[in-house]
Amino acid sequence: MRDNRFIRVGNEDRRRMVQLGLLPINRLQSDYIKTGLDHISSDLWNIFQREPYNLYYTRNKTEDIFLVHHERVSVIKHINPKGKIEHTGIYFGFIRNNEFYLGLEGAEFIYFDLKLNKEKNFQLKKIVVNRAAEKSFLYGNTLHHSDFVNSPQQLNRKDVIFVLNTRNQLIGIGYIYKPYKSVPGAKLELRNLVDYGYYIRRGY
Amino acid sequence: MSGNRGSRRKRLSKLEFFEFPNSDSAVELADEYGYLPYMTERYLQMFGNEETIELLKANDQLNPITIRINTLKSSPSEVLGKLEKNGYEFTKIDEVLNAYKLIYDLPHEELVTQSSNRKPKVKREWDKDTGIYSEDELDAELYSDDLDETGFARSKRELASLEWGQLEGKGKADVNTKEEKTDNKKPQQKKNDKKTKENTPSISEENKRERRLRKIYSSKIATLGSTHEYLMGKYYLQGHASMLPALYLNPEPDDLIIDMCAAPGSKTTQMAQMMENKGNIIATEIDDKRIKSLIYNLRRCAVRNTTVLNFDAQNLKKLGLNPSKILLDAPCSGEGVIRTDPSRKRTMHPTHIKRFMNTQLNLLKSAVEAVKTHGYIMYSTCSIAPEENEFIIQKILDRYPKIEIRPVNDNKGLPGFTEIFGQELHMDFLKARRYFPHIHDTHGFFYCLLYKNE
Repeated sequence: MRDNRFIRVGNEDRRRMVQLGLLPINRLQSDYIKTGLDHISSDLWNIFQREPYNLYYTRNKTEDIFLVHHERVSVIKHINPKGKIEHTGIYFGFIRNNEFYLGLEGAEFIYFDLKLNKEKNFQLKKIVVNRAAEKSFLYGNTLHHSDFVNSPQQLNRKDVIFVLNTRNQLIGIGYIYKPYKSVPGAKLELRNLVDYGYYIRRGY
Repeated sequence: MSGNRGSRRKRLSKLEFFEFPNSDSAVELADEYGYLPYMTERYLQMFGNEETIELLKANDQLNPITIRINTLKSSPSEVLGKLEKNGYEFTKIDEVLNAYKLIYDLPHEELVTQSSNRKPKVKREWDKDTGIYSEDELDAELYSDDLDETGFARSKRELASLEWGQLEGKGKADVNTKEEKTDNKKPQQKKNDKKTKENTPSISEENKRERRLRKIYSSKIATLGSTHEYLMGKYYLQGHASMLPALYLNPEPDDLIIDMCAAPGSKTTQMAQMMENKGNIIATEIDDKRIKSLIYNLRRCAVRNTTVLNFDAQNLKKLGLNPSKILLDAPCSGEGVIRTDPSRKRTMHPTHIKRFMNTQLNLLKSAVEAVKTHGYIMYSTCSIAPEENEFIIQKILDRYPKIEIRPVNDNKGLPGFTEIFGQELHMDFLKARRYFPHIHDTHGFFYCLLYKNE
């Protein structure tokens, strides 16, 4: 069923926002995001919906998803459609090829702001990596099982993992690549989704 | 409301850029310090001879590195603790909350020993073929990647082709080469000449020290800009003077603020921090390339109350918003940031400044029209030219009687000009603030708080 939260602005306001380039997400995109968040935890989408935020997207090369607080929406909807909105609120991630990729700020929001520790039976999957692996990960590289200092017992293929250094600082997110048993000698890998080195690598 | 605008000796009729015929001393100073002569002439008109030299010398020095701790992500004690572990030392800047200055004041000898792979100094001997002191390898190495007076690097070949004495700064060189021509003496023969001895070593030593410092300093900046804490957005590298406009605009959590010309986002992130990510900031930027750096800085610093609009702020009123505060850090010639970007000594021509003046006036006009009654506008530039600062605001004061200048609680900055280039300006410019490299050891900066009355 469609979530009405995302289309609560009036028609006139909606038209203005669309002209500014900021569009409320549609059902399909909502499904992609839900599927993406399910890789972190199946409960996350429900927890996420309690927050006072709306999801919007802008159309660039990819569809950039923004998490916009209700307070911000009330101002944006009054902007006359001159110019184009490039960014607002929290950059949550992007959709490409019908798949949702969580951004670094989205990961920060989930890790730091959602206060998931208060939720019963809910734990984010975290992996602590050693010093050399930290540097390697901050260059955007893939890590191997031997680089892990501490990791959850059960790791499934395509699980999105929060990667921490030995000082317990979040350094990025990755996903588990588990080879099929039929491939000889292949081992579990943590592939980089996004990390803090990204800000330097992009050169802005 | 300011009814009394003061008597005007000469009314500022149109927006004009003041150029004066270049005097000999202006040309001499321009040659010595590598400026375009029109700039030094204007400085002489503004400050007089002695202060101009101080300013030019100060512009050749290093700007202190200052950081602002981002309290949206961390606390000063946490960040400073981690940076101190990595060998950085900071001292607090009193007037700006969460701002710290990097301590880096090692004696000359230590700097020489610190810079790696440098051989100890040997006795200088003149090499006729190369035209440099060949045995002084330290200097030869230093000159090889040295900056010339235009701010560009000199090649070894270029250096070798230079006349003796030109390495020491053109002003001094002129004296020496003239003497050479008349006396037809070799430089080594002149060793006993008192004049030459007095002239050359002091400046070159000073310059060398400065350049060594600049190298080590810039490497420090490079590392400060790539620490884990920086990447996590726990602090922002921002000049001291550049922190003041946002500070004195005093953004509050319930404000709607428009930041015109917001890229790269230093002041936007500072305001968001002061507002604790509450309220609303609309950051406008017209340049597609600069907008990317703005967005990435906002993302890195966890700023969430800001909407970035790709929009020409000269049409601000068309947005239909009624902001309570507007920050206009206007595009300018950047005469105040020569310390960081020495190329501006020779690349910024009067035509550029005239173009900036028109843009600045249009931007300020549109800000005045857009801000709500009882709202504030903070106008700032990193230029010390009165044409880009006081003159722009004077035009606004003349045209919009509802606008007045409000004082700021800044005791360190100098007041704005009330009379300059034969033009009498509003007395309220005493409430505006100016920062100069030779007085405050910061970038040159101007800011002025405007208020829209009923």
